[in-house]
Amino acid sequence: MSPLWRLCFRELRNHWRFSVFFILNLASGLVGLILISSLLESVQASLDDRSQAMLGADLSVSIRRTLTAAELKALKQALPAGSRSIEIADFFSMLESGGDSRLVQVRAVSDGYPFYGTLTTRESGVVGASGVSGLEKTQSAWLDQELARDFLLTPGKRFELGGVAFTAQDAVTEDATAGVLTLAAAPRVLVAKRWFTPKYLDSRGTTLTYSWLIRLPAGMDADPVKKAVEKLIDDPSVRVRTHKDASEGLARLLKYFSDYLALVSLASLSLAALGVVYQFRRFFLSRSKSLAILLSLGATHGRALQLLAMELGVLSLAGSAIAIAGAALALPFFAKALGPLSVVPIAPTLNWGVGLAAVASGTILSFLLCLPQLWSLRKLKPVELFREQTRFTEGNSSSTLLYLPALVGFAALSIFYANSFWLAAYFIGGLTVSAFFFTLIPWAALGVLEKSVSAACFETRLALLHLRRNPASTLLICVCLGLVTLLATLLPQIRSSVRAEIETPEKGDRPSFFLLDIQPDQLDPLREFLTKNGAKFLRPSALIRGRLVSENGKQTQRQEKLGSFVTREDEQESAFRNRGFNLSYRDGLSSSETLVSGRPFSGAWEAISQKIPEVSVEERFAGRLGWKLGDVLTFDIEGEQVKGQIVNIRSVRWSSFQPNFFVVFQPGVLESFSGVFIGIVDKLEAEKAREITRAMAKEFPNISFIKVDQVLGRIYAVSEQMISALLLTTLWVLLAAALTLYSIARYESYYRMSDMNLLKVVGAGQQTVRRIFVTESLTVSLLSATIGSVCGIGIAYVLMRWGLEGTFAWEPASIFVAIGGVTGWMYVQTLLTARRVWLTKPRELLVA
Amino acid sequence: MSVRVEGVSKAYNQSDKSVTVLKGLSFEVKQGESVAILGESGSGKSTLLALLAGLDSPDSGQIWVEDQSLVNQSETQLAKYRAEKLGIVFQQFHLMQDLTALENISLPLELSGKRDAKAQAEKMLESVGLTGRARHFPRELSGGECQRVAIARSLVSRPKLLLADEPTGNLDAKTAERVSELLFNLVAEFKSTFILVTHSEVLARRCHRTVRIVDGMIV
Repeated sequence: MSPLWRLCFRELRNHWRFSVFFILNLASGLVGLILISSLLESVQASLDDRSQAMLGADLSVSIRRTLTAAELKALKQALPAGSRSIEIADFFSMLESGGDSRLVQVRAVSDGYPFYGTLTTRESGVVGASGVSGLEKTQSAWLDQELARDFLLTPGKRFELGGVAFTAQDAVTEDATAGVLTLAAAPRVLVAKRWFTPKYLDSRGTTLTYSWLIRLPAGMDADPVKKAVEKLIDDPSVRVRTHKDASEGLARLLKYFSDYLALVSLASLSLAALGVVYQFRRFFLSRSKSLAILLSLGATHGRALQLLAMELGVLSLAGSAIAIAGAALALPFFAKALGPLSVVPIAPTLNWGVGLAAVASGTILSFLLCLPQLWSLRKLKPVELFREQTRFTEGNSSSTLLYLPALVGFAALSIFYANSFWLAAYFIGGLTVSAFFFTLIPWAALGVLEKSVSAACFETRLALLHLRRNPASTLLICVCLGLVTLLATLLPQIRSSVRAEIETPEKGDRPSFFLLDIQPDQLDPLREFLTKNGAKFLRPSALIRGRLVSENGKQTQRQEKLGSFVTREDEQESAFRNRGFNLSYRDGLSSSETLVSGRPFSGAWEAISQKIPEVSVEERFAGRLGWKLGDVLTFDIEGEQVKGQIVNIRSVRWSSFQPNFFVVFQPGVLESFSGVFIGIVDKLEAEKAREITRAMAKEFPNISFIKVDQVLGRIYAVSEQMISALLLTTLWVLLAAALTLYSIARYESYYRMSDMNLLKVVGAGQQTVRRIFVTESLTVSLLSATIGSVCGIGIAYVLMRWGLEGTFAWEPASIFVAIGGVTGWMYVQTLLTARRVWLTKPRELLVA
Repeated sequence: MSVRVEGVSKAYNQSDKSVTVLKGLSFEVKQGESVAILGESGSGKSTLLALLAGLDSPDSGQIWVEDQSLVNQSETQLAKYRAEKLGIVFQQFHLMQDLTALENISLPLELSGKRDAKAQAEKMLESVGLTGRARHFPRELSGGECQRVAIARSLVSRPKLLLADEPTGNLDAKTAERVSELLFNLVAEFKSTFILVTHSEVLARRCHRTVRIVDGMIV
C-alpha cells in the first residue's frame, strides 16, 4: 500500500466519528433513490415479461369506430404473411340481474382470443390461447369472480347485459389480460362479439373501442410492423400499439405515483447533501493545520489534494455500499407496501444497474459538494504555522460560487430520477423557495428576538447571540427542520382534505349518477321517467366524436412511438394530440367552470354569417397542446371538416362530476352530427337511488350509469393506500434529516466545548450551560417547525385547490403533532449530543 | 483573599498509567500578595492553577480560600466561587469567538446578574485601552489585544483572587511587556491576590514572592 493510501486510511480511522457520520449521511440520501429506482425497474421488468399476455397479442390496432374498408385493406397489406388477427370490442354497459344492476366492462371477443396469456376460471381451470371458443357457441358469458359472487350468477343463471340476455357460464379468477384497474370499479365480463349487432355496438358510442389483435409469425419484431401499419393508416386517432407500448402505458400509470416517491427521495438526498457539505467543511477546517504541516514537510499541493480526494472517494464508495445494503434490506417491505398499488407483481430484488447508477451519482455528487474545500486547498499556506495565531479559513466569497457545480449536478440528478424536466424544475424551484423561507424568516425572527430579549435573560441572550452569529449551522438546521415539518404536515393535510372531499356526499352540486350513451331520441322519455320517479335529469350534453386535423392550418401529424420520448411532457402532448376528441356544444359556462381568459360565446352560430365558429377550451388541455386565444382548430367529424376559433379558455372543476369537455363549440355548429348524450341525475337518497337504477336498467337497457359514490369509494380506497405508502417513504426523509441534524449537533457541541468550558471558568454552572443549549434548540426548532408547518399547509392548500381541484380541509392535530414531534426530537437530540459539554469539567482550558 | 494549600496531591491516568503530578504540595498566599509559580513544563503548575480555580479536585489534601475549603464543594458552589471571587487569565486567551470584545468582558458580570454590566465592561475596556475595539470579534484582534480583553474580562468583576497562566507566553517581547505592565497595574489597583504561573523570570520578579515547583513539589 502506498504511503498516501496508508495516510488516507489512518486519517479516516483517526477521525472515525466524522467518517461514520459522513458515510451514514450519504447512505441515507442514496438509499431512497436506489429503492425507488429498483421498484420502478422491477415493475417495468414485470410488465415486459407480461406484455404479450396483457395485450393478448403482439400488436393491436384500436379505434373508437369500425375501420373503413380501405383501412382494413391497408391493415391486411401491412401485416406480414402468416399473421393472424381477430376483432374484439370493449365497452361499458349495465349488467342487470335479480333486480339489481351494475356497470361492467364488457370485452366482446372473437374465436381465437387470446393469442397470448391465460385466464383461470372456476370450472375450466387455466385456459390458454383460443380457450374462449365456447362463448361463440352459446349466448353465454364469463364473469369476474366477484361480480358472479355479488349477483349470485352461478353457471346457468341468466342476466342481461345492456338489454341483451346472457347465461353465466363460468367465473374468471385470474385474468392476465386485465392489466389496468379502473376507477369506476367496473368488473369485466367476457362474451362473444357475434351476439351483438353492429347497430347495438355503435350505440355504445362513448365507451366503445374496437381493437384488432394481431399475432405475428414467431420471432418477428412488432415495431417494424407497427411502423408499416401507421404508414398505411394515416389517421392519428387509430392507435397502433405493440405489446411493449402497452406495458409502457401501464408503467406510465405507476409513474405518476412514483413522481412523489422520486421527489421524496430527492428531498432526502438534498438533506443528506446538506449534512455532507457541513461535515466535510468542518472536517477540512479541522484538518487544515495538519495539511499545512504536511505541506511544510515537503508535500506538494497536488499530493495534499490527492490525499483529500482519496479520502472523499473512500467515504463516498463506503456510503454507496451501505446505501445498497440498506436498500436491499428495506426493499421487501417497500414492495409489500406498494404492491396493492401496482398492476403487476413487484419483485423485491435489488437491481444492480440501479445500484451502480446510485454509486456513480453519490460519488460524483460528493465530489461536487466538497469542491469548495478541495479548491481552497490551493490557497492553504504553511506559512500560517509561523504566525502567532494560526488561522485557517475556507477562503472568501468566491468559494460560494464553487457550490454552483453541485447545484447543477443536483439538478441533473433530479431530472434523471424524476424523468421529467418540469417535475425536476418544480422540485429545484420548490427547494430554493423553501430554503429561502426556511432561512430568511427564522433569521429575521431571531434578529427581532435578540433585540427584544432583556439583558437580564442571560442564557436566552447568549443562546440567541450564538444562533445569530453562526449563520451557517443555524440556517442549515433551520432548512432541515423546516423541510421535515413541511413533509410531515403536507401528507396528513392532503389526506384529511381528500377524506373530507369524499366523505361529504351532500356537498356542492355532486350528482348521484353519471349517465352515458343516451341516444338523442331517449332524451325526452328519460327525463319523463326520472321526473316520474322523483329524480332530476340535469345537464344533458351532446357528445360527438371528432379528430383534430390541423391547428392554425398546420396539419397534425402522427407523433412518434410513445416510448421514444425524452421526457414525459413530450409523451403526454403526443398522446393528447393523437387521440380522438369528445366534442360538445353549449351556450355558456356551467357551474363547475370558470372563465380564465377571452370572452363568452357570442350566441348561436349562423352559417350565413360565414364566421369561423367559436370554441372554448379547457385551460390545462390548452396549455399542454400550446393552444391560445385566436387559434383556429380543424376537426374531422364524420368525414366533414369543421373549423373552430378559440374565443375563451376556461378552468373546469373535474371533481364536480358534471359533464365537462376539453373542447366545446358554440351552439349551432355540431347539432347536425350524430352523437350520443351524457347527463347526470341529481343527488338522491340511497334507497331511492337503488329503486331508480333497477327501474332504469329495465326501461333503458342501453344507458350505462356510473354510481358516483361507488367511484368516490374506489378513489378513497386508492388514495388511502397511496398516502399510507407515501407516508412510509417519507420516513426516509426523516431518517436523512435525523442523521444530518445529529451530525451537525454533534460537531457543534464539539466545537463549542471550549467556549462553554470558558463560561464555566468564569462562573457559569452546568445548569446555565444546559439552559443555553436547550434554549437554542427549542428556539430554532419551534421557529422552523412553525414555518415548515405553515408552508406544508400552504402547499397542501394549493395542491388541493388548484392541483386536484378539490376543497381544502385542514387537520390541526397533525400540525401540532409535527411541531411537537420536531421540537421534542430536537430536545432529545440536544440532551444526547450536548450533555457531555455541560458535564465536562473545564480544566482542559488550563492544560491545553 | 488568602489562599492556603495543604498537602495537595493529584494524579492522572494516562495510557493506563497513573502519573502523579502534584505530590503533597503545601504553600500559602496572603491577602493582596502576588506570587509567581515557576517550574518546567510538566512540573504541575497548570494542574495547581486548575485546583485553585475549582476546576478540578485534589486526590488528597486541602485547599482553603479565605476560610472556605474548595474540596468536596458542589459544582454549583464552585461555579459561584468562580463567578464572585475569581478571575483567570489564560496563555491561549480563550475568548468566546461568537462574542465581541465588549461582550466577552461583560460575560462574568452578566452571569452574576449585574444590571450595569455593559457600563462596567465599557469602563474596563477603556482601562485596557481598547475602547475602539468594543464591537470587534476575537478573530479581528491581534494576540496582544486578545490578551488585554482576557485580562479585562478576568478583572471586570473585581475578583479577590486572580490566577494567570503564562499570560504573556503567546506574545512578542514588546507586547508582553505592555500586557504585563497593564496586568500588574490593574492587580495593584484592585488589590487582588495574584497567583501567576510563568516560565519568565522577568515576569516572576515583578511579584512579591516566587515559588518553584519541581516534580510536583515545592522546592
